[in-house]
Amino acid sequence: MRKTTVLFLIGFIALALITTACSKIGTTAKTTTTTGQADSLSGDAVANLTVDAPPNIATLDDVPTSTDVPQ
Amino acid sequence: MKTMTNLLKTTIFTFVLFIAMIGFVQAVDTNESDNAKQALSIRYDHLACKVDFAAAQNDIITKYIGENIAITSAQEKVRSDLTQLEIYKNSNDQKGFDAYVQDTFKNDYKTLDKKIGDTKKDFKSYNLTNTSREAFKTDLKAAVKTYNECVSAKEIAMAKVAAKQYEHAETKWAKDIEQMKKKNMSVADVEAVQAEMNARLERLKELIASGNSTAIREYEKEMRSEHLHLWARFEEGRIKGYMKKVEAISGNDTRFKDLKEKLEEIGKYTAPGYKFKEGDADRVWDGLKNSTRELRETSKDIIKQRMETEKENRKQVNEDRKDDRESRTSNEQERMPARDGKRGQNSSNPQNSEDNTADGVKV
Repeated sequence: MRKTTVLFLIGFIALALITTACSKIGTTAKTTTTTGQADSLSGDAVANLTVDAPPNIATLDDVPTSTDVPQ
Repeated sequence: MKTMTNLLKTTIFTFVLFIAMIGFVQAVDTNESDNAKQALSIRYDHLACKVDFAAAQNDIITKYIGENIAITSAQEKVRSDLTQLEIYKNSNDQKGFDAYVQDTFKNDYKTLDKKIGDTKKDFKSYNLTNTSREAFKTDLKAAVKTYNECVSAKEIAMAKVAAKQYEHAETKWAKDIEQMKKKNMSVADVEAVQAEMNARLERLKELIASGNSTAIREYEKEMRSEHLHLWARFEEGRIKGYMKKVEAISGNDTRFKDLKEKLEEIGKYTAPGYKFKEGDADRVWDGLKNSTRELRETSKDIIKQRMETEKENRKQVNEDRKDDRESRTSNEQERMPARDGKRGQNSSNPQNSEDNTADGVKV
């Protein structure tokens, strides 16, 4: 029974890894196809071109605080 | 039955393991919303440093001079503000947090800070003994030290979040550049901007590792002022890369002239070393958006025109072929009486048939 459990686990993990790998390959293939189509359409590469707004970079709030110590 | 139970246990265990694996993968993939949430938390802690410092100063004033009702009242208001900010933080409501800091907290804290400052300024008028006076100053210095340490820790924590946000932006750029390379576009401009961003990011990381919060603060200020300019330069380079590609394909279509002029105008503001003045960032941004839209529309027109031209060309080629076939058929029909009786002799080999006809050997 222990052997079966181990085999089952190995199989399941392998399946999970294969699924992840296939998903990544699928994404790559999709991107490649899109690029290929864009080039074949001679200029369609810009059909979805947009400028991306700059992301906000986090910063602390500017709240002046006096740290003076009287002399 | 025992086997079934064991199988069920194994299945549940495996399922839990699988869910854990998914959770782990997602946890590794730190995204922007995590950074924003973390930033909000650090902002809250940073303001809490200030509120705690004010409370510590009020305690010292009460201890050596006596309770100042105005300060205590202002302090309670600020403490109440902090409670409200905690609610915004816990619900991850950044807009609410921003508005409350801007409209309420800053004013309330300014009032409190001024009241404490005025009391510190006038402390000689309270006729304290020399010993009490020295003790007052010593306690105050200790409170300032605690406050500086608190703020410094939050500055370093926020710099780490900022570094992650710059890294996230850099990853996006790397993907953009990769896409452009796949389309055989010119990437020299965008890669130059990316290299600058990398250098700045590395410097920030070095400062974070050094723990020098003053240097971090100064450098972050510089990075923030450069951020919009660097981003605009990258986007401008990207648009130019796409434009060159489409222009080359279009056979240098004259419609790109206007677009080039617009980008040249933007280039005055995005030149390396130029510092954005007030209104420049908005002007550049609007220009980039308009140029992109124009590039898309021009490109769309060019594609449409090209497709129509190709369609016309194909139609013309088909018509030419049809004419050619009709002409050949007509010629053959004219020659048929002379070949009477031999028709079909070489029908299994059209090449031979054509050759023979051309040479006129068997005519």
